[in-house]
This record gives sequence, C-alpha cells and structure tokens, in this order.
Amino acid sequence: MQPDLVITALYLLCVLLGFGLALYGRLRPNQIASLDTLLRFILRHRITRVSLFVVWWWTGWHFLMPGV
Amino acid sequence: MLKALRGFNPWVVVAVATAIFHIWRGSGVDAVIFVFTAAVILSQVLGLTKIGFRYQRKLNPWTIGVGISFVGLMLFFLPRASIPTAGVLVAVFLVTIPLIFYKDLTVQPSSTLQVRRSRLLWSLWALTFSLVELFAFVASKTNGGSDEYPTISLLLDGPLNQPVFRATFVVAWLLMGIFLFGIRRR
Repeated sequence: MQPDLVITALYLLCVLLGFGLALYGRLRPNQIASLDTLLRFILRHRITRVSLFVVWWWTGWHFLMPGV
Repeated sequence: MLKALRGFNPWVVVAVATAIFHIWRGSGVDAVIFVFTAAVILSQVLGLTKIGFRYQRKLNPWTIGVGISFVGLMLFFLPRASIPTAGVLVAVFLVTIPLIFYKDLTVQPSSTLQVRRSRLLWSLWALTFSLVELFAFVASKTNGGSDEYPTISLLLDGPLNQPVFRATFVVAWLLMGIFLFGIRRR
C-alpha cells in the first residue's frame, strides 16, 4: 500500500472523527459535553485562551504564508 | 507537589515544546511566534502579567460579517506568501487578540463528568492528529520524500493556490475563530 494514500486516509479519518465527536457531544450531552460547553469551560483560563488563539492564528499563517 | 501539579496548565508544555520543535526544524518565523507565546504564557504562570479587560468584548454580527467578507475578498486577490498577505494576517492578529485578553474569574466552577470525558476525548483527538502530522514530517525527511509522506500543508498546497479555495479556507478559518473564542457566545 502506498504511504501517501495511508497518510491521506489517516488525515481524513481524523477529520471525520472530529466531526463525529462534535456531533455526539451535541446529540448526547449527558454522555460527553458538547464542544461549545467544553470550550466555555476550558477558556476560563487565560493561558488556555492565549495558547488556543496562537494555534488558531498560526494555522492561518502556516497555510497562507508557506515557506516563511 | 501534587497540589501544584493539579493547578498546572498543560498548555504551558505544549507552547514550550512547539517552540523547541520549530527551532529544531529551522523555521525562523514559526519559532519566533511560539517562543513569544511560550514567554507570554510563562509570564502568566509566574504572575508577571495580569493586564486585561474586565469582561470579554463581544462583536455584533454585522461587524463580524463585514470583517470576514473583507478579509476573504482580500485574500482571494492577494497571492500567498506575499507581503500584503502577511500584512492582512498580522492585522487579523492585532484586531482579534484583544478579544481574548480579559481577566479570569476569581472563583472558577468545577468541571462535570461530561466535561472531563469531553476534554479527554478531544485531547486524544488532537494528539492523534498531531502524531499523524509528526510522523509524515519525520518520515518525509528520513524515508522517502514529501510526495510519499505528505504533511497536511503539502496536501492543501495545490488547492490553496486557487483563489476560490483560498478565500473559502480563510472564511472557514475566521468562522472557526469566532466559534472557538466565543465572540458570539452568551
């Protein structure tokens, strides 16, 4: 099996798992908290806010400014 | 010791490790971004910087809509990896960072079982994604090449050179930021 196909499939699987987890949290909030609730909870701390903000902003930078 | 560890924020480790990783891979700008982040976070841990708004600033839907449309349109026309694009991204950073700089509540509610489960599952998800990306990066350097072991940035490289996909990506990225940081959350 070609490694590039395996890696692409793993990325797609991760994306699907993310959507699945988000959906499950929304449909079964008594099992796991929804993403919205989780974010509300973890963002109470400024260190988490700063970290998540940089990860988010850097994602945009990384894809739009390749090689910089 | 255990009491100190209980209050320890794992993001401190993530920021410092990411800074070291970018220094190791020789990516200058990325290293600067994460070293600066690690420094800000460590200054928070040590209690050196406590400035911030009393409450989180909220934006109305019109401001958000106009802002996202404007940035999406700009990056539709601007080429990637250009100085104007860097300017737009830095402007996005400067405009949005005040929205997360508000003071923490002095009394924090404790987490529920559902929140702890959700936090564990999302942490495992993020770890898995990062490990796949790390594996692809290391394997591309040691085994074959980036064609055989493509990182996610390489997979999206071609589509992002198309203006329509680039603008769509930018809009999705900005909307994700609005969701993540609760700019509209009540």
